Amino acid sequence: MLGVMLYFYSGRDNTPFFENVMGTFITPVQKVFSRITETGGNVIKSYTQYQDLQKENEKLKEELSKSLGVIRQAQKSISENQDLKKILGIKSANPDYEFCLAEVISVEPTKWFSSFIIDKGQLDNISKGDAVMTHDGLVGYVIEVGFNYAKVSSVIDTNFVVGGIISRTREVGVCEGEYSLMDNGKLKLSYAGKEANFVVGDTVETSGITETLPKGLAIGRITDVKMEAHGLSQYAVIEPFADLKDLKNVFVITQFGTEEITAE
Amino acid sequence: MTRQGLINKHLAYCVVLLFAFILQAGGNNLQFNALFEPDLIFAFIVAAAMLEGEVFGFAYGLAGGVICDILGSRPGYFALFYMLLGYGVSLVIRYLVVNNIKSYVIICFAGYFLMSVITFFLVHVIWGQGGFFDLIINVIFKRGIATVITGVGIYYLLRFLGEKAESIE
Repeated sequence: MLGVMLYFYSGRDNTPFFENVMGTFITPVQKVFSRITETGGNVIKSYTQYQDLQKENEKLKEELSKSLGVIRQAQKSISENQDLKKILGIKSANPDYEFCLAEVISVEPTKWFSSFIIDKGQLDNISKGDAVMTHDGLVGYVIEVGFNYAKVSSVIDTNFVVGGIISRTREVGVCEGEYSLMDNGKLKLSYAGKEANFVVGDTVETSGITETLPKGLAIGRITDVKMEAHGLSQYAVIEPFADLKDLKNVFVITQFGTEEITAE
Repeated sequence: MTRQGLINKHLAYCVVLLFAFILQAGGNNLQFNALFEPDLIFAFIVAAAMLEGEVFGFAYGLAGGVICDILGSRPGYFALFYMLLGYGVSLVIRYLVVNNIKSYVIICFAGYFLMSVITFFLVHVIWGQGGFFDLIINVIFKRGIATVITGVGIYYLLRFLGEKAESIE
């Protein structure tokens, strides 16, 4: 037997016949086993890789979520920064104003009135009657204050009444909300007299007659001039400068003007 | 219905009311578009009153009105109004009409119209505000239609929740 094996595996050029026959039959079987082993190996390798990929996926998802949170925070900060820059501009023009930045957290649910709630209150030195603005113009004034919230009546609310003045002609009137104009997002300037010189495009600002509101706060622009139902006077329809469709951040003027005490 | 089923049903109703309130009071839009802003709380109160009778109609009306008044600028007005609405609707269902979707549509629209006219007179006309006919066409009619359309969904939702709660023990 040993002799036969040595004969078959000794160094020679031609493959012996028996070996050739054995190899021919064994080779396909070996191929099959090799494929099975290879496939099994690939399956195990895929499974372990899948586990690794899954872990990596979870980790990446978590990092993405954190990054998105950071981006959202950054965007909010950018927006707040822009608002604050504009407030700074207003503050530079009016150094005696004290502001408090607030966020709108809800609006009047019944839609019969136009008021909203902000997230600052008495603890932030806000008091009833304080003007509420955006950098574009007046939004309303505070009608009710809690410790950490305040209700604001917007410029288009029927409850809103302030003294107004036309910037161009210095004619005074009363800016007030009216329900028929409210759903269009407008208010009216009335009690200005039959001969009042309203021109479409004129700017209206606060006159300072209302004690709690400083003078010169931009309210809106005249878009139409109509005659009152009684025919005795005109009124102007005002479109507010402030964007009332997307009111997120506002600022409250908590203090303005300097009190001069004169001794007599 | 078992006690637990009753509790489940009213808890589900409270969730629906809260959801309706969040949808109505949320957002940052102070400009009102009548066709796309139905009065969900009103629709809920009418549906709940029709399905649950006088006591719960009164209670849900009061609850809906109180949460409207908390965020509103006329404290007490809607609490009183919705309370009477809930009670009134349930009486109408008990003595006058059958409780079905047709009755709901009619009661909801008529009730909203009536409430709107009364509110306008009490809150605006008395203080010299005008534009009544403009209000009818551009606000009350449009919002009434929107309220009824969404209200149909709320009515069926409350009926479904009630039946589901009854089946759970």
